[in-house]
Amino acid sequence: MFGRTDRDQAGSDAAWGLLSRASMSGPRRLAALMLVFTLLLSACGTEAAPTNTPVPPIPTDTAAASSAANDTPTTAPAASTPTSAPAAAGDQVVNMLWTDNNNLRQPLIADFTAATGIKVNQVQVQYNELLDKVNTTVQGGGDTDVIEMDTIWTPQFASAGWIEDLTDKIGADLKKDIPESSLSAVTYKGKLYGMPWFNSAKHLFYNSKLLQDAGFANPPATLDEFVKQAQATTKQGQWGSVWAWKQAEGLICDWVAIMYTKKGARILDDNGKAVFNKEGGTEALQWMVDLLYKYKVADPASLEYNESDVQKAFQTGTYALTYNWEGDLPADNDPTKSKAAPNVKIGLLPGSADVRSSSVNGSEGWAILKSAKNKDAAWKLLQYMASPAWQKKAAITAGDYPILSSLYSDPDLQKQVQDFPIYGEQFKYLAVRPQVPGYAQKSDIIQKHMHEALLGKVPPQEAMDAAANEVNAATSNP
Amino acid sequence: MEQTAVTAKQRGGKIRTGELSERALGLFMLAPMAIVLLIVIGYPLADSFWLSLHRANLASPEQGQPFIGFDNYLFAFRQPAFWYAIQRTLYFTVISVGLELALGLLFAVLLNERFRGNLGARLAMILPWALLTVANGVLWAWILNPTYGIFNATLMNMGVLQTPKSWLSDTFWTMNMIILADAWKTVPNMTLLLLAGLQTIPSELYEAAEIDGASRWQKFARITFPLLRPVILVAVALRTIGAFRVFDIIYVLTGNGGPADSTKVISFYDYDQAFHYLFFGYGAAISWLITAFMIVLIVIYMRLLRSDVGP
Repeated sequence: MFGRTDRDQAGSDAAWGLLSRASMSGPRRLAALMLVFTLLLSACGTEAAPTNTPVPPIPTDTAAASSAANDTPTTAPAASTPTSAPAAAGDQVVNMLWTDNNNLRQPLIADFTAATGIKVNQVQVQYNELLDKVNTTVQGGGDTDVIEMDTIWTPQFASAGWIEDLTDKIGADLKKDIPESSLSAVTYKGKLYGMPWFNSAKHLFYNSKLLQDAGFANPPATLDEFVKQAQATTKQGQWGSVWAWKQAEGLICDWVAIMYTKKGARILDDNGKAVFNKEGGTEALQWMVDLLYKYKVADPASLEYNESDVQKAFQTGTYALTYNWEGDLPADNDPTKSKAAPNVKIGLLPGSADVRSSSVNGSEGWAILKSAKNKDAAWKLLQYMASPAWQKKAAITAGDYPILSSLYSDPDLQKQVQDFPIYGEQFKYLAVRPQVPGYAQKSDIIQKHMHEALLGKVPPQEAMDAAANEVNAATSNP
Repeated sequence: MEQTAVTAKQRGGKIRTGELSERALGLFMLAPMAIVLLIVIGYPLADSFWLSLHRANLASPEQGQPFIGFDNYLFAFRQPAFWYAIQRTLYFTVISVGLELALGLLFAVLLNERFRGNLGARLAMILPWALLTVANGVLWAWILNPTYGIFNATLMNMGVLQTPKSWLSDTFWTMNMIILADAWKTVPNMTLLLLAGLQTIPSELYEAAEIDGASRWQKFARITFPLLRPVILVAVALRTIGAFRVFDIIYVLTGNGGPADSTKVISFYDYDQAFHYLFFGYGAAISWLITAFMIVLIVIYMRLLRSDVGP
């Protein structure tokens, strides 16, 4: 979650979804809501539990189905059509569900088809609709083979038995160039349930001019240095730091990154019990609260900003330091968009005496559904996506940060992206948000209590204790 | 059954059967619509109620969907978050409807006067109402932006504020700013209803009052307000129902019901449970509870209205 896809589209998606909702008026809206509610349910409820969705034997000769599958346009809602794509030799097909909304990766799909002869049927949705779409696809028994999977969904999909265990397939030769942190996005309980697609993490963005004016040649390497530099750069009309600390997932991302500067920090223990209140989370929250109230070096507006608000604020050139996702740099250093141009640089997120750097994993991956009818073709597609051929071209055409370490020293890519090797380095220091089913609810609980502390209403220790208790009780929900 | 048939026959004769067949024809012609309505409204309603009696966590399919009676409802009553959401909803409803009524009444009375440019004023008044709620939310997000918003700029130029204020990161101000944004859009609705009501008041009453030497305030308090009461009640009832279900403007302005859940109204809570956490059974139960709350409100208003007829 909160990779580039999300950040770029979240706003417009939300607006669109709501526009269509808002265009209905009065009681009709209630009726429609209930309708959506129940239609969704009747669609999902009457089917057998998805763990044992019957998979019909692969038909050997279904010409009609084949042509139907071939005729499916790329954006057609094929998920619910009953056509089954055949896996006859020489005419292999794979059906996938993903969010290539701007079609930047279509040449790569064409490359794959040219290289393997396997045709790819695509269903494309907006990121914010993806989880719902996966849910209905799985519950409704569509013919999708491959799905895009955000890191925070891995546990839910894996524990519900929706996706294939790929541990045996992703062998040592594949893994040797993919850092452990990238694989962690698709790992649940030690097993690999997907193929990493692109890397995403928070990075340190700094305004090198403001830091130099304050006498700092280098960005902060530790949280203590961060405070010092932020103090030195905070003055009238200027803030040392700005954050995406709105009550939202981005708040959790920063908290996790800060927390893991402490060696041995843990969010959950081995039994899945929340222990963050005792093992690092409270210190991290205390640090955040101190930035606001003790050192007064964080813009109070941080509490209503999300990542794109932070980017816009940073582009005013009046902020020295911030945490944000990769991919912001070109716009930040574009003089037509940013008053901070050309002084914005990226660096590793601060660490501590024990930890060199600590960021949070926002990567996404690919998974094969258990109900897939074209598993061989699907696996070939996943292999291709992890290959240098796909990864390098995707970095150039779509701005996907590669999962392969070796590509960060690739001269072509270094020419394309400012400070490219730093990203490669940062992707080695990624903490993972709790990989538990029901993550969305637990994250919301923590966000709420953190916000109470950040608003100065509750001391950090009290907020963290309350959050941990509620998270541990959340498993007994209705 | 038999007896009624007999009495019908006894009373009956041909006219009765003719009536019956006419009624049957009517029913027959209504049937397609009735069936469609039953399918698209009746069935989903019944199904969602049935669902609310089950534990249906779509994210944990291994649990199945067992029948749990009214446990979802009882669970809701034990949740502090549920009651907090109700409390925030009531706060929003009371303050925003109160504000809208006060402003709506003021504007309606003003627009009911004859003056140059009345038509233009009426048009300008209605304009915000034509805006989509989401567009309104985005608009106010820009106005309230702490760094480049016009609200802070204006207040700072006027000398009210020394430094920019972050309106949407304060548990007190966020909800009140949302109320302001919502009122800006919905006051026209209220104004229009009240204006329509005002125009039904016969002008003879005012003429008679003037002859008797009544002041402006006396005319308002003794004529306008009493005669307008039924309309006010209807307008308030409609707005209360609308305000109780508020969702979109909060979603646009806060994203997650923040800060610290202070704007997480009951619709938002329901949305989270059903579509964010996939607790469909619990989500269905919450939406039935919302419906129940609204039925109570409607009954109260209807009582008030009935006792108010014939002033």
